[in-house]
Amino acid sequence: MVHWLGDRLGAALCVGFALLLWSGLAHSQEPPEPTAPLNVAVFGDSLADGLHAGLYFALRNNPRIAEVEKLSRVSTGISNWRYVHVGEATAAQLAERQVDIAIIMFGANDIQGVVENGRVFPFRTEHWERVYRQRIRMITALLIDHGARVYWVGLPRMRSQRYDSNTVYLNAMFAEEVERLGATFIATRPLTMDAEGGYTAFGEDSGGVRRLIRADDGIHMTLRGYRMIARPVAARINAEVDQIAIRRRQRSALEAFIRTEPEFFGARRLARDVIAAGFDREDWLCRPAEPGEIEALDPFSPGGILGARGDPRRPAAG
Amino acid sequence: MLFPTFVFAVFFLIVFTVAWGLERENGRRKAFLLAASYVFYGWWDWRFCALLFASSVLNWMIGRAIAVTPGNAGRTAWMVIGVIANLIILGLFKYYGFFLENVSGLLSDLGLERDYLFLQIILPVGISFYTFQGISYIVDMKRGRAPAEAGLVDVMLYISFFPQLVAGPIVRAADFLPQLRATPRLSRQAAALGLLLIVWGLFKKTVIAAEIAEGLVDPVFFDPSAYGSVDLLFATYGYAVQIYCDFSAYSDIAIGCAALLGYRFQRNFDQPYRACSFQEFWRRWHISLSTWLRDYLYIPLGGSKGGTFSTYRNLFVTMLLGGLWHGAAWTFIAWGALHGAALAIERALGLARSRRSLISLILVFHVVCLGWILFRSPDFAGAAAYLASFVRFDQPLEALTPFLAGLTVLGLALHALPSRGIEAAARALARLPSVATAAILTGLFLIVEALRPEGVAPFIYFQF
Repeated sequence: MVHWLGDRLGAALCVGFALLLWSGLAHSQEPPEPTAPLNVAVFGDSLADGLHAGLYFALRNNPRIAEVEKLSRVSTGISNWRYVHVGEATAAQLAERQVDIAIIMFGANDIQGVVENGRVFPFRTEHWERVYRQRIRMITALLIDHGARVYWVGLPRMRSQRYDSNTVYLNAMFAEEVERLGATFIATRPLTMDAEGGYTAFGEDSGGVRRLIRADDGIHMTLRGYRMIARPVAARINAEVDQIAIRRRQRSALEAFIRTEPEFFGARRLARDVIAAGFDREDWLCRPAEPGEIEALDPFSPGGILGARGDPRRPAAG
Repeated sequence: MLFPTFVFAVFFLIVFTVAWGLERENGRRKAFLLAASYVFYGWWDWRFCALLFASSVLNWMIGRAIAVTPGNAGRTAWMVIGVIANLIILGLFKYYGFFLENVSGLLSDLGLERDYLFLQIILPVGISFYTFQGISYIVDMKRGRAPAEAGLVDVMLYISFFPQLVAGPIVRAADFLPQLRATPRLSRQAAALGLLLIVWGLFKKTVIAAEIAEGLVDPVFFDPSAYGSVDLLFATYGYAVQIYCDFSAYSDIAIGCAALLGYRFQRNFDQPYRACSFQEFWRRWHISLSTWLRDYLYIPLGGSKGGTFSTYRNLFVTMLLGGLWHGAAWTFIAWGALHGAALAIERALGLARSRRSLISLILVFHVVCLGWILFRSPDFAGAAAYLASFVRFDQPLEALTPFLAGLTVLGLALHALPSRGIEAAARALARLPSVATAAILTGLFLIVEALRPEGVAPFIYFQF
């Protein structure tokens, strides 16, 4: 019983210490200690390629940003994963690098069916939407679990009315799903509409001069257009970069603790819980317990406090 | 429809088979090739076909008017109307946005705000090429060089023939229309030359140009301030190689496809970086454009007959407009001005006729490369940033790898090959037994296919 109580007490102290550290650093009035510059990566399709160009130039003078990397790939999307399985591709990209801020822009190629178990589910059907939403969550969660702050950039106004109504539908799903996971949705649609809400190929530059912002196809943008839609994304990053850096450092410290320190009163497990609850925004109190944890919590298990004296409910070995 | 794709391969096989199936029925053959050309063009956007059709019919009607008008003054008037009509089409589709943006910016700076008609006018692929061919037809009709009796189908096919439709070469009416009147023939040598040109073009485009663009040129030109002088220098050389391999490849494939269908186009590139003067460079680079500018712009402006100043002015204006033809941007105009000034200075100093040397070759090549920096940069600020970064000698290599340096050197070394090497190889190939010829050509296609990276970028000159 003493062992069991000690375990719980130690765990509570660790949680308290971790939360104190976390909240204390986050709200400290002291100037934050310098942190390593952050890596920004842009994921998505050809629109994301262009967004990357805009962001690259918008963030290049920010000393807190190490680099803005283009991890997007043309002709990719979330609905058709036969060409590129975006989930696997993103996981592979994350395994090779540290991404602190992830920008995602998908959807322009997604007005097509999804294939599951050899069956094609047409665009905007019930099952299509279920799979699509699940894939949005999957990609967002992948990046959050990696430790990245995620910004999902919505699709701009499209020239074709039919195409545009579909992008409105996709934007609504993106916003709903990513915000549920604690990520941020940034809309570009208002920037690419005229006063009546219609499509416009022109927008005002920083000097107030009207410039062509859309490509001939009514979907993509000119470099000026990409710079224009990158501006609010860059502004958001610039505003939050210090906070992101602090969280990045706290998370790194906890991860290093988990990697290097021996298990002490379940502290490593608790550190993992703090990461899940505080950084990955998982509901850690309700997370499913791992098999080892179930065993550890069971006082009659071999590792439990009563296990050493034998479990009266189980037959003796031999 | 891009040349180095499976879709085009299937399309061309069908066209080739049907066209030679109609060998003895030249009228139906031409109608079929015309329909195939519209399919090829409509593959980008079927709406473009309407403009191509309207442009072709307009030019044919003007040509007919020139043919039936008796007096020189009337024929000249029709020619002027035709040229202006073509320039209006080109101006509206290609330069309207550029003009409006600059005018509105200028008036805004002066505090004279106006409500302008901001329209997004889609630039149809290849409009610069087929508009120039239309002008060539009208002027050649006026000069009596094009056959006056050419029918609507012949003129439409001349303007829209798919191998040269979207990126040249700019074929002359006087060269092509007579070929349409004769029944085409396909010799072993022409077939061997056509196939060799296609495989050679594919190699230059998909292996050399694509690799250099992706690994070296695109990243360095994207943000030149992030690179040091060696990367910047090799990216400049790399772009010189890329644009040559890209554009000459398109011309080679176009000439090869036309040859396989029984038609002959003039060569469009002749190892341009071997030039020891700017005059020679323009006799080797995009020959169909430079001769077009000479015959339809420089000579009508007065050429070299109006005295020294007029000659320099005409050279400069011709190259300036040649630069503008490439795109609606100030960087292209500056590129044209650079070449115009170089041609005028060279002529003034008598360097064009002086003894050729390695020094003049290196000098010309580097001034041409300076022009490529303007040509490739998105704006003047980008070009200035590129040039300013050349002084960063201490920056370690970021983009250049031994492989990319080797490809760049290879692209330049192609200029040391025999000038008519492909033609000589085709003659040798045509003398071999058919099985051996087929085996060699198949092997070459497979080697290029194995070497090329995944995916195909559009040809640079599509945007013009």
